[in-house]
Parts: sequence; C-alpha cells; structure tokens
Amino acid sequence: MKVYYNGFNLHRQFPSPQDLVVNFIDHVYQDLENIEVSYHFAVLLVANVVAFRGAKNETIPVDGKIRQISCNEDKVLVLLTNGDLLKITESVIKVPKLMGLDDDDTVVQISTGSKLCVALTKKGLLYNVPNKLEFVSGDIIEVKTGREHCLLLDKSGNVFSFGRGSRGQLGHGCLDDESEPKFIEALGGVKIEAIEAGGWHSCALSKEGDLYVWGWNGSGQLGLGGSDDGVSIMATPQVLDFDFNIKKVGCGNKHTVVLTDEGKLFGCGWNKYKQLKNDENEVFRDSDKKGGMK
Amino acid sequence: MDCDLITFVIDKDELRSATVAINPTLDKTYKSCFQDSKIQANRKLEIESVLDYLHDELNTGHWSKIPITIRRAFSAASFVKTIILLKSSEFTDDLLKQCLKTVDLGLLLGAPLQVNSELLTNCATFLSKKLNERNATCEIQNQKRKHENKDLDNLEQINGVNIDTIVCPSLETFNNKYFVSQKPVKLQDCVTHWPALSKWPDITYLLKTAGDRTVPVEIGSHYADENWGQKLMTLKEFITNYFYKSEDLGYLAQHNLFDQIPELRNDIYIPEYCCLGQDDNEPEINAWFGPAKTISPLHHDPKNNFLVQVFGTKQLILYSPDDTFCLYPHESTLLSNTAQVDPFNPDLDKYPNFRNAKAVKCILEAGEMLYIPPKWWHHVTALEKSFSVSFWWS
Repeated sequence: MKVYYNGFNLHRQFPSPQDLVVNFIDHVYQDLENIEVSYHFAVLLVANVVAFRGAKNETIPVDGKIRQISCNEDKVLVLLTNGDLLKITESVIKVPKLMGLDDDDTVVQISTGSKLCVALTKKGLLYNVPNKLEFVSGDIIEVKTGREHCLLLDKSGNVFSFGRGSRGQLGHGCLDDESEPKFIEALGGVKIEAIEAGGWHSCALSKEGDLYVWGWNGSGQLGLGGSDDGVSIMATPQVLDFDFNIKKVGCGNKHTVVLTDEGKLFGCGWNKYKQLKNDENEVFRDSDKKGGMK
Repeated sequence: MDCDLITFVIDKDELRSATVAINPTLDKTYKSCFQDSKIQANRKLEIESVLDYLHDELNTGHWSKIPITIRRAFSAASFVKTIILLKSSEFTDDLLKQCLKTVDLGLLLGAPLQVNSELLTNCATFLSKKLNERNATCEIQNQKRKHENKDLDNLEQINGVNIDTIVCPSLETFNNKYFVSQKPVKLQDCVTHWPALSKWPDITYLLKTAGDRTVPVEIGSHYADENWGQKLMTLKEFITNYFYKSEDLGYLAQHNLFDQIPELRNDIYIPEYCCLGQDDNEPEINAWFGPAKTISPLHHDPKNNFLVQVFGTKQLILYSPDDTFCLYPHESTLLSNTAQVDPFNPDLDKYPNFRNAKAVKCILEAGEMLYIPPKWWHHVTALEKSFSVSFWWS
C-alpha cells in the first residue's frame, strides 16, 4: 500500500529525514493493511504483525487474525476476528472477556480515545470498556471516539453521542456530559453516511456530500472561522458552507481534512506542525484568518 | 542569562522525572534539552511537541481532575523551553518577553513542583525585572482616572434592604453577630493598613510590577453569555486595550494573581476574621480587575467570601439561600450555581416567584470589605474602573 504523509515527523514516524514534512511524501509499505498515527509513533498493521515506527520501534507478532487496530496517544488496541481484544503496551495483554456478553456474541468494532474505549458487539451491545452501557441497538454500524467522547452511526443514518460534552462535542446544544448514547436531534432528517471524531470535535457527512461539524473550534478545526473572530465552541451541528461535495472526512486532534468527489483534499484547523500545509499542490492550506475550509 | 535561571533549580532530577513519568518517550527529548550546552535547531521543536502533548492532556477531562503529575510535567517542560529559547536565540527584548510568557503559561496551567516549588515564580520575577531594567520608561502614561458617573438609580428599583455596616468589629463581635448567623455585612476600616490601597490606584505601579506578565482575561459581558470567552494576554495589553478602552468588555476575573506574582501578594494581607474558618488551609485569593460595567451575574459560591475593594466602586445585590426558589438556577450542571433571572431586568412571566425575593443591597467603596456567607446569591456590577480582591475560606 502506498501511503502519503505530511506533518510532524520528529520521531521518524515516517521514513523521511525531515522533522516537519511540509509537502506530501509517499512510501510503499509491503502488505500494509492499515496505518494509525499518534503523537510519538505510527502503528502499522501488516498481516498478523503490529509494527511501531517512531519514538518506539517494535514489531509485535499477534496470535490470531486481526480485524482492526485502534490507537490513541500511547494506547494501542487490537481486535481479533474471533472477538478477542488485546492491549499493546510494554507487552501484549489480553483484555478479560466483557461482562454480560453471550457465548454466541463477539466484539465486532472498537474505537479508543484517551479517556474511553468503546466496543460494539455483533448483537448490538455497547461497552465503554469494561463497563456495559444500557443502550442497545442492533443497527449501529460505526463507532468513533474522540479523546473523551464517542459518536455512533446507525444504518438509517442517525447519529448518537455520549461522553464528555465540555466543548460542545456531543452536539446536543449544551455542554453537559452524557453517560449513555443520545440521539443528536439537530441531525434528525439528515441521512448521515459517515462520522468522524477529532480530539474535541465531531463531523458527520451526509448522503448528499454535506459536512456537519460541531464541538471545539479553538484552532479553527470546524472550518467555520478561527477562534479569533469566530466561535470557539459550537454545541449544535452546523452544515459547512463549502463549494464541493465531500466524499470523505478525517480528523486529527485539532484539525479536519476532507476529500472532495473531485479528488481534492482540503483542511482546516491546527497547522503548527504543518499537518495541513502543502503549497506545491495547492490543495492544502492554512485556514485563513477568517477561517473556513481552504 | 540562561545560567542565571539554572541557578534557581534545586533538584535537576525532579525536573527530569516530572516529564519522563508521564511518557517514557520524552526521556531522550528531555535529557538533551537540559544537558546540551549548544542547542540544535530541532530541540525547540522537540520541547514544543512535549508542551503541546501535555497541553492536550490538560484539556482532557475536568480541570479539577487533571492528574497533578501532568500539571507538574507542564511546569517542568515550560522551564526547559525557557532555557532552550535563551540558549538558541539572539538575546532581545522580544526573546525575554517570549521567555516570560512561557514561564507564565507554566505558572497558569502547570502546578508547582515539590522540591523546585518556587522555580517558575523565581524565573518570572527575574525575567520581569530584567525586562523592566531594559525598558526603564513605561510606555503607557498613567491616565488620570476621571471621576466616573456612577449610575446608582438602578439599585432603587430592587426590592430589599440596605446591608448592615460595621466599623472594624472585634473578632468576637463579627463571629457572634454575623458569622454564626451567616448574615452578610459590610466592614469598614479593616484594610487601612494594606499597601495596595495607596499603590494600586497608580496604574504605572501595576505596569512596572507586572506589565509583561501573562494573565487570563474574560471577554464578553458575563460568563453566562454565549459570546463569552477567555483570552491570555499581558497585563499591559489588558490595561491598554480593555481597562482604558471600553469597546469590548474585558475583565481580569477570578484569577489567582497573587501566587503568580508574589510582588503583588506583598501589598495585601489575609483578613484576620478568616481564622474563624474550620480548616487550616490558607484562603483562596483572587483578583478582580477591570473597567466599569463588568458584571458577575447572580450566582453563589460554596465558601465564605471576603470581597475587598482596593479602588473603584462596586454595586452588589445579595439574596439569602432561602430565596433560591425565587431565582431559578440554571438546570445544566455547569451553571447550576447561576440564576436565570436577571434582577435588573426580571422576566416576571417566566420567573414569577422573583416578586417575593428580598435583596440585601450594597455599594462597596474603596477600602471597604464585604462578608458574603457561603451559598448567598450575589450579583456584582462595577460602577467604575475597579480592582477587588476576594478571599474564599471555609
């Protein structure tokens, strides 16, 4: 798989001698299935091996077939196809079987933040590991966590959220925390096809290619305007005024990147480590003073 | 210069382990930052990334629950960044200011280390003095504070009684008449010995002592307002852009300025009545400095409060905890100590019980001190440019 990279590279997370990669560089990894990037390292999933690149350089073989990896800060969680959860720290630790899980039920999806780790089972149970939530829905298809909040998407295109709400990241119009998933009413009637969570902000992409954003805008990561002359917190989802149809969205801790249906990338938010800037191709730029996606 | 600051370090190992304890990958970064005599260009990037990593941690979870280790690591890393800045850049006023800002952020967001507890405070005092020596003339003239038009009419419309006033009561009198019965009272002649009363009205003094120090400023009419926000800026910027101008309302509010700047702490004294409190902890001391018309909306605090007026006049409306049902506290947990009703513009259709609320009204002048018992609701308006100091104790 060919991977393009730019931004912070002080720990050589990516094979380049540059500390800050301003313009995209690429590298071909043999047999790469997935890659996740954290502060100090990149985590590569190659066949049944999890490899760290950066401040930590280790290759960890995993016993069993891997379905998914999820990482946040220094935490790396591995989900096997048989539903077992492994935590990789200094060594590989198997997470004890979740309480209340039927014998014929298994974890099918995970997402880890810095303050919570959420697991979804085949039968639609949700865990804020290791605690089982009351909420049950057989329809959830996607789970995404920010640093301390979680978004859920169901097959009808409804979005739910729970966790910490101090920066409006739950989208319920207030800054309160929620211990159980709660339907985001402001998105009612909009069919959402993809969700993504940044550190303290949230994005939902509609079937029509519109992006809805909410949460912290302290670095301009919502694309609504910088914190200087815009809002710093948006507690209700807002549709982004944007000229292109958006096909895909991705979030860093404090930045957002979108891919348009014409294959162009746009970004907004934190750019201290050049995570957005690529002048040569003129597709990435700083969010300007007035903000907005560029 | 950098060596001067390093002499403030009592225990180097503590500085190192404070950072490394959080994340072992920071060890290499940390060691080289501290030991190398010549600083390579990428060291600045390293320490920046450490601070940004910690800053994200500081933004995660409720502020009161942030592990002390994270905050200590932030303090230690702020010191290291200061040294790196001094070692790697040309020595200018701007560099000094950048260093002082780094140290102040460490003081504001970090927590004192255990052995090196005074490290950042000492660095800040040192850097602040150095900057002062280099800029002997203060750019801002001390604009005479004009006699301001105090709009007192408002208070008349409020249903209630004027507050009791007592001149420097004995500890026993204050205890028996007010503290035991949890009754608010205005105390006169209790702070006449404070150097602050004569020094702080001279804004040049504040600028000289702390002009380059970074402080948090609340922007917007009050904290329950939706456009409210907090900004960090130097005291000089605050005085120039907010204290003397009134386009945007800015308020240096509820900030523990005195742990940050011990030079100002020396100008005030803890009221002796605070010894009536149950615990042995020192009161929590906060500064409230701003232009006229700053407002703290109707709210209550969990502790006893002495509010001392250093200069300017403030108008306060107080309500007993028994009147809570008349004031309609916000339902969200974050604002549950704040009332929805605005006593100066009450929506009686929405908040009919407010009719029954009985206020205690107070005009607090320079040199006066107000006792607000715990849980008593209070609404505060600055009628003039004002500096108050509050002491929370229990």
